[in-house]
Amino acid sequence: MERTAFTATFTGMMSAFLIWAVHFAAIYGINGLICAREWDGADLYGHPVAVVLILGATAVALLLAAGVLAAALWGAAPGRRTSEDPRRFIRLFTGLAAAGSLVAILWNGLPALQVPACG
Amino acid sequence: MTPPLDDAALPNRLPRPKEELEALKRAWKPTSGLGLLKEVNNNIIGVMYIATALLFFVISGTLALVMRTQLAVPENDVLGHSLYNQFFTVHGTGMMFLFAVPIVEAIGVFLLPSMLAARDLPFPRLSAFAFWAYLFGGLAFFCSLIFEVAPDGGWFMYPPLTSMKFSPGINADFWLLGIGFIEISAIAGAIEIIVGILRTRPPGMTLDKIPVYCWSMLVMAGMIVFAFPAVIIATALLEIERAFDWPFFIAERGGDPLLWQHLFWFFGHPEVYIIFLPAAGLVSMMVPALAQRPLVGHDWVVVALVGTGFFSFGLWVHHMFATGIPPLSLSFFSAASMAVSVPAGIQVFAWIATLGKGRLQWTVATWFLLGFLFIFVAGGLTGVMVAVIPFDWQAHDSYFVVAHLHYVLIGGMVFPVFAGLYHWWPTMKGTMLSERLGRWAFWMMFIGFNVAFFPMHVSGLMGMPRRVYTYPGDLGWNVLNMVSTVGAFVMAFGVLLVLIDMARDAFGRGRPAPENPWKAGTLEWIPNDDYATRSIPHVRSLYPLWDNPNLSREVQEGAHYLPGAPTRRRETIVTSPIEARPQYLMPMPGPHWSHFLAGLFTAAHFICLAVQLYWVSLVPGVLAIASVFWWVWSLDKGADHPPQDVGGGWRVPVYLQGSENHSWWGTAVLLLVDGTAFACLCFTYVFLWTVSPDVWPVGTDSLPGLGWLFGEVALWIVAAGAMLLASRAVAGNRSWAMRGLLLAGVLLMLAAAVAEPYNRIASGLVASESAYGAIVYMLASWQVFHVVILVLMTGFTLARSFAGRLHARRRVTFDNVMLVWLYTCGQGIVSLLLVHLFPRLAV
Ligand code: HEM
Ligand SMILES: [Cu+2]
Repeated sequence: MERTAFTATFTGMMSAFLIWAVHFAAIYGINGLICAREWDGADLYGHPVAVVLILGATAVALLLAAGVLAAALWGAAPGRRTSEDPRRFIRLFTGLAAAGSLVAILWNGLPALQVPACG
Repeated sequence: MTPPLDDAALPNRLPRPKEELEALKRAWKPTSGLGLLKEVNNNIIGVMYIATALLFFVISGTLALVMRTQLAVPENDVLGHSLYNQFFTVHGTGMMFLFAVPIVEAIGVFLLPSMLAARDLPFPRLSAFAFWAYLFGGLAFFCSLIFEVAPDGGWFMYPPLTSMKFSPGINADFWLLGIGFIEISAIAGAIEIIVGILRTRPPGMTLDKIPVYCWSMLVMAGMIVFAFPAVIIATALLEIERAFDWPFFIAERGGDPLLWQHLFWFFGHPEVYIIFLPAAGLVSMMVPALAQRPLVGHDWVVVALVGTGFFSFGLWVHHMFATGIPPLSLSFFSAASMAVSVPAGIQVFAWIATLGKGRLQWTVATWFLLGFLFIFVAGGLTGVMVAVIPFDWQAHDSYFVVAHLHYVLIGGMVFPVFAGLYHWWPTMKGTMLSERLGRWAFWMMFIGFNVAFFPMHVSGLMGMPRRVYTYPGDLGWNVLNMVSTVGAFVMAFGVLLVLIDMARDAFGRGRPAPENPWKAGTLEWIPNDDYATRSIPHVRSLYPLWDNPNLSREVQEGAHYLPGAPTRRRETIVTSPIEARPQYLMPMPGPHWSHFLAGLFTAAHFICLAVQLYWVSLVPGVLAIASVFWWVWSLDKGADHPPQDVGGGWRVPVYLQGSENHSWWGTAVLLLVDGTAFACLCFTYVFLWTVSPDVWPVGTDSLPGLGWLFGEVALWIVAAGAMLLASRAVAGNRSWAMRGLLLAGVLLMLAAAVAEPYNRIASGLVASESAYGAIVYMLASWQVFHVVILVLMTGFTLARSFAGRLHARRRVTFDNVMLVWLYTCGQGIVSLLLVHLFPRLAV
């Protein structure tokens, strides 16, 4: 049985939640800045700049969280090198957290399709 | 180290020698009489802490009753306008800061060691200090009411109402200084709880076998680390604005009152979950015990707890729906507010499923739990309603919100806490509260609560605004208000019954409890004493007492780990955070005057500041610092004993240096707090720029030259280098080199910290002129503040070195200072890059 590095394992378990947090901060920051600077008239690839940036950030975050989920499901989860018992739990935890974060990221990003950026 | 034991064998052979228990008893003998003030044992501090929190609950509740009396009939004049404002502010503040958060921490301090079967948590003196600071600070805060100088700006203290212009008296200062420093006590508690849960678990309690309550406390403490710095920074900014006229929140000079709301609610919303999650954790422990079966979906509940902890940080703007924030931004928060009910829902289903599957014991706790479920679900539903923005615009600042917040807070935390009081009371000294009185109390509280608060939904929808001291009689609110008031008194009577019940027990009228009266499965039900359990059990599952019916007996006979006090002093086993293997034997500090005096003087210092006795405040300030030095001087004992056998084939050292040491972990958590506070200042800088770019400099003429930037950054880098060299000098036992490097380093830091404000003054920037000046000087002052602390810490390190208490094999103190030092250098550099480059790059 090998010793595990706590920081790496713990960060791995929290990674999906952290991705959610960074995504949330990013979309709020992007929109806040766009409205404060009155850039909401600008277009990017033919769509309002806020929508493009926010959906882009959402897509990136979804991909990352999906990566964590896949890693948890197919074995490369943090804690691979721990003793048997906590390892099962760590993988389950990471997977559930990733699944939850995926939904939360999507749910947070979707309003960009409907609601006007600055009003 | 030797391999762990195989499954069948017990860690230690029976029977144990007689002297062993004697030694254990002697080491943990509590002090009596006045010595109670010196005590650090969490068993004792925990009880005093809980009692104090209940006292503050009663005081805040009494204020609520007076308010309800005032509102019972229209045009009443029990309380005047200004006194009513003070009452609701002190009530709200008292309930949130002086009752709810402290009591969940206090319960943790009391319950965690026994749930983890640790002799004590890792920093007993720190929690004792936190307790005394809280007690004295809290008492002073309530006393402000007597002199009618209590704060009156609401528990959220919105500027500009609380700015100098509209609150010229010292009322607001009482809140800012009084509460600001009690936050520090909450953070101290959080550090204790985090390191305790991660490092003082019993051998075998791997990550997957941690009781749910401990998870909830871990999440709660983690949230304190990331939420409280925001309110501390907010209070500091407002206090500085009031004292020195630096315009952070004054719109005419580029400040913005919304900055306060962002910082306050970034703390304030998570605060609600900081209060609720520990209560949910208590519920998740009581439900299995009462239903006599394991919690359904345990792993899911753990993820839900952690998830709630994270997601609740994405909600703060839902308190600001009516402030004119862009619609898309609002909808992020609306979405997140609805999403956060999902993990709460998971927990509710897990409890209901567990209750449904098991055979329920009908105790007082069961009733309170059912009451909790009912009220909390109702409060959750109105929560989803106010998360819908158009509804919120209608209900905002009406009594509907008062009803919602009390449903969530009283349902979500007061009821579980009262359930917990009845449930865990027997673990205190082996007596039980009265089932009969308890049941009466429950029904009075439950019925009283609903009678008091349900009608408020209606009066709110009928248009009754919050925070009004009276109302005219022709608006149709009269009956509803009278009913509310009657309900409030009925509920208060229920609380009184509980107090009477506890008093009966205190005077020796409690029934003796059988061992493990509810037949629960977790470690806190093993009979314990001042030294906690006789030996520290080896854990193999989530409910060790159910899986091994002999465990309690084995532990009491000393068959498990650390059955005695091998070094003749208070100590506990420190284990690794994931796999919970024994790592070393930690000596624990015993009774002492220092932390008590530190708490007393800290409180005195802040009270002097609040009443504007600035010069006088220096006296307790210096005394507080001196007490802290006295306190920490005796810590870091070094390996003064050979490795000890704790059982199960584990022979562990009594001292470990570097990143394995518990105090290193404590310092690391403290730096997370510090880093969050700094991030809040950086946020302040950028936020103020987005709202008022007009006060930022255009062009580089009014900025200090880049030479200043490079010079100061270089100073920080060299200072950090000096520390790294000093660390190598310690390793090589080259004491004089180490001392020289520390001294040189600290002088470099002083130079760097002073250079920044100096060059700003030279380039003509005035802090009180604009929000830009204010935040630039604020960041510089923050850095100076850190260097002042490092000057003290360096002096302390040097003193230890001269006393022969610091060398290559005993360097924990040094390593902790190094951590703070390197952090400060990094922070200094980031801060400089921000303030020097941002105006040059911003468009
Ligand atoms: C004994 C039961 C209680 C009663 C009768 C009660 C009553 C009241 C009343 C009348 C107000 C003022 C409403 C207004 O004028 O706008 C109020 C406000 C408030 N209460 Fe309570 N309360 C009780 C318990 C609690 C508890 C247990 C908590 C928190 C843990 C709490 C937290 C608050 C807060 C945060 C406010 C808002 C204060 C403000 O607007 O600044 N209350 N309560
Ligand atoms: Cu909220």
